[in-house]
Amino acid sequence: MLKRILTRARAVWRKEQIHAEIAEEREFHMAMRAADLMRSGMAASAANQAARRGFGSGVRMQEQGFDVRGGGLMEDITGDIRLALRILRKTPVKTAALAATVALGIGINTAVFSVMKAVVLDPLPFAKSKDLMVIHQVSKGESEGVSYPNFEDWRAANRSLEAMAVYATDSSTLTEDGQARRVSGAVVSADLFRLLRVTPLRGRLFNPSEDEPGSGRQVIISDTLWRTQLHEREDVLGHSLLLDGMGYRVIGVIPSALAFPVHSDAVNYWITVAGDAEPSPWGGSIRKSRGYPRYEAVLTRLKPGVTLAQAKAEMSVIAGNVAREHPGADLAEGVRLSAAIEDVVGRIRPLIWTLYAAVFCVLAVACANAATLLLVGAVARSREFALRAALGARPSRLVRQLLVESLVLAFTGGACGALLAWTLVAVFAKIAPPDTPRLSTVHADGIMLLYAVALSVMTGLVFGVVPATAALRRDLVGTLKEGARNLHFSVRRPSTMLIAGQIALSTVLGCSALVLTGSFWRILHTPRGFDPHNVLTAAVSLPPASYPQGSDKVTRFYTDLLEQMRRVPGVETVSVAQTLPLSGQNNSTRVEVIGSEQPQKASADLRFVDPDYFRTLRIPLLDGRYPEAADRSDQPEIVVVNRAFAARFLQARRPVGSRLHLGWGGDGPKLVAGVVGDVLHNALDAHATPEVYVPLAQFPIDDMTLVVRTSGDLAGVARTLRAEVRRLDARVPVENVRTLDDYLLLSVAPQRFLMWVLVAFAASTLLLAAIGLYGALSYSTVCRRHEFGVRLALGSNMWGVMRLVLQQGLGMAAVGLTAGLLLMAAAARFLSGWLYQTSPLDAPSLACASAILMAVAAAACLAPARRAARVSPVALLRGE
Amino acid sequence: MSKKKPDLPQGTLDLLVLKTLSLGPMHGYGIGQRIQQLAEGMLLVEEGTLYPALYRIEQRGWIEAEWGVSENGRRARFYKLTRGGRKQLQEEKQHWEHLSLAVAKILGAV
Repeated sequence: MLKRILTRARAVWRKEQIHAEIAEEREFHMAMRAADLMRSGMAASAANQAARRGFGSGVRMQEQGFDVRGGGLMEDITGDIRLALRILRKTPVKTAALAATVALGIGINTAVFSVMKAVVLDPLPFAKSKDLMVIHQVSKGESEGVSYPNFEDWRAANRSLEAMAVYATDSSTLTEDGQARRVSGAVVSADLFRLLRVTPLRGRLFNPSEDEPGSGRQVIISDTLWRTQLHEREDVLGHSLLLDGMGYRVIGVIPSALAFPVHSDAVNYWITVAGDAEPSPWGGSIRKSRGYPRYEAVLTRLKPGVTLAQAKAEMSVIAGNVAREHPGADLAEGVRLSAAIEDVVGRIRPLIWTLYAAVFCVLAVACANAATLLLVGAVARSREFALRAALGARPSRLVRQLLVESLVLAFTGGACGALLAWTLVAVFAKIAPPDTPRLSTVHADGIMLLYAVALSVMTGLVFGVVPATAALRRDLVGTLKEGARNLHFSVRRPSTMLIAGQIALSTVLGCSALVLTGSFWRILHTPRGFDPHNVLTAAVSLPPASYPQGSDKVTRFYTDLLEQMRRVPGVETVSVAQTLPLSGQNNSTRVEVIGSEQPQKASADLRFVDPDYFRTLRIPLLDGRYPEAADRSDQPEIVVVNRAFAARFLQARRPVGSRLHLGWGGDGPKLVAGVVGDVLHNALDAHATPEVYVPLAQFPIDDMTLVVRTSGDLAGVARTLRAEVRRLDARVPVENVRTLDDYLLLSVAPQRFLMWVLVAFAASTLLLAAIGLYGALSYSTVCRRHEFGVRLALGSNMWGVMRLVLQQGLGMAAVGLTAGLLLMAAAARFLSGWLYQTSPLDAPSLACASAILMAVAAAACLAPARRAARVSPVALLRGE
Repeated sequence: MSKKKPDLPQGTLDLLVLKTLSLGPMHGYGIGQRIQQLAEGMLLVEEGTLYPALYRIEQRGWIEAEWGVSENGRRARFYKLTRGGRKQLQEEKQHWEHLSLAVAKILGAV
């Protein structure tokens, strides 16, 4: 078999040589024959002639010889390709349109595939990453963080897991060469890198003893940090890295590709949990506090031969024991053990798969579109095919040629599509929700190319088969006799189905896009309790080395900064807060109302704010008063609570004047001075939670975010802000400068992303479907010209003819629309996860999408209908 | 042609070519001549059928070709039997003997 293919391939490359050899062999034969004849007494010229006669037609023998010696099929196919190119070149506009359609379908599909592969499908980059597991505590059905004492108990009791390590993301101000920069890192326990099987590029990993307090401060850094911040210095090991003003000794460098946890933010340094155990004004209790889920999760690895189910069973027994031994610990709901990859991609997977489904709709529409146009083209050439069939061409030969044509087209489109995908990958990476993990690993590679090629073959066959079978079915004699006139009947059914299919898929995408848009509008206009417009925010974190935690120096810095900013023209109000609504950050604390029966586990979200916070965010006062500048550290401690807090904890009494103890935020009893409105802090589609606000002056925090309400230009205010901070203290970094509106949009980034992508997809497929409808209808009108002429001659008016065409076109559209709505009903449940207070079959959205669709379809039908009505019966009948 | 010479039954030419080549490598003209000689002039192999047959047999791998120098010093394409060809010759020979025996028996019956 292989040898035969080789012979055939050789025949294509060495065509000249083979032909020359055959000719030479013939010449030799004739010379020998002539010599023999002459020997038997024939004259030279007569002998030559006789020798030549013996061969008959030289050409025929030549071709036969070449065929037998491997030329045949290959030459046919190269001939087919040449013919296909010639035919495609003859109609450049149509060919370009077809190739562009295919390129669009393949390009988008390939781009999304690349994103999906890198983000969702690829395994984690660690050795035997399938065995890596992550354990969370569970609270109210949601995965939560893990407290240190729980972690220690699990680690001691477990037998089926290799080791365990806690981790939590961290960020610090890195001061290097006198410049301050915020860098992301992680607080981890020593076994983490050994569990991951990471080998350091330089130096070593953490030792277990370095988890213990007093073991000195060590840091492991990524090679990215080493290259960008430390200028690849050779003496990096032992170098003292200044993080938040404290020196950490660099003990190792590891590859950035093996950073853990895997987040959208690259993790660039790792310090051990020892730091969490060091005493601080309010810290130091992390080691003992079972109720404080300080760490994001526990990383672990299945021992060889242990199944996931066994490990799960053991962990739930252990967690149950811990919960029994420590009633009140947050373990009543147990723990959740899952594959580490799930922890990374579980949340983003539905979004990516929804996207992938959508791009297949686009590809299918593109295919159907190309098939429609090719079908029309094949019908126009049916005379050519009928003639060739009549001259003895086998049907398989004709089908092969049509398939080669569509494959040539598909590969042209596929090549452009691959280029398109290359650009689109970058676009997707830019517009994807910012918390998408592993986006930086998305890139164009061989697999992407292979995928594009496979897709090209598939699409080429799919959209080539329809016209090819249509060409096969045709009745020869009829075609030759009648010409193109009654041909449209033979293609009417397949083309109707193709058009209806395109419209159906466009309907699904269009409806989804509109339902999402409606939901998005609702989510943006839901009352959220604060006014995010025209508010600039910036994180201003004070290095603890020069601003001791909890000291008045911290308060003074922020007070001075606020004072300066208030004077800036265009600034209305200005304040600082520790966590902003919708920023993804949160704090919570234990709550005890003095003089009341407490529910067992009372906790509320905790905010540290400057008094002007409420005016800046326009959070309404419902009762009592806002905090004031007079609530300083030497005054009685006060708090302000929100409505949800008052409803939950202060129901039986008048809220203002009640007294509380908080687990964090100052030890003394606190007087409730006021009640403010609820704010949707966690998410726009969540409920308000109980919140308690503590004035910053009474509990100074050094990691605050400035919020500025301006009436002026935000960029100008941002510049002034940076200048002011630099003037106050050049070592203080200003980070994360963005508006509150940005946070609002970021919090709905997945919905927003999906909405825009679907709107874009729906618009393109609708356009394609309209083009397809227009093309098919135009062609059918040309075929029915005779019929229209007769009708007009028999007294039908122009409207009658137009109605016929519109009926045909809108009929196809209506079939497609109905099918699309049914499909939509089936696909609804995939959409519901992205919707806020909106049914996936939201009637106004569906009605609106249907109306748009029919309007576009009608517009596509209009031109062919008018052309049909302008047929001149006289000219037509004379032409017959 | 002065005297009517019988046509070869389909496929027989292949057998004759293989048989001829089993005596040694030979060019196309020589094969034709040799067949005619062995048949004592009772068969005529036309060039138009000989060469396609040679190419076909070569394609099947029963013979292979090589350029060499002929007895009169010209470049010629020499064909020789492969091992597969030798086997094929045995098979076809047996097959032919069977067939001719059967045909002869039928024709010999009175």
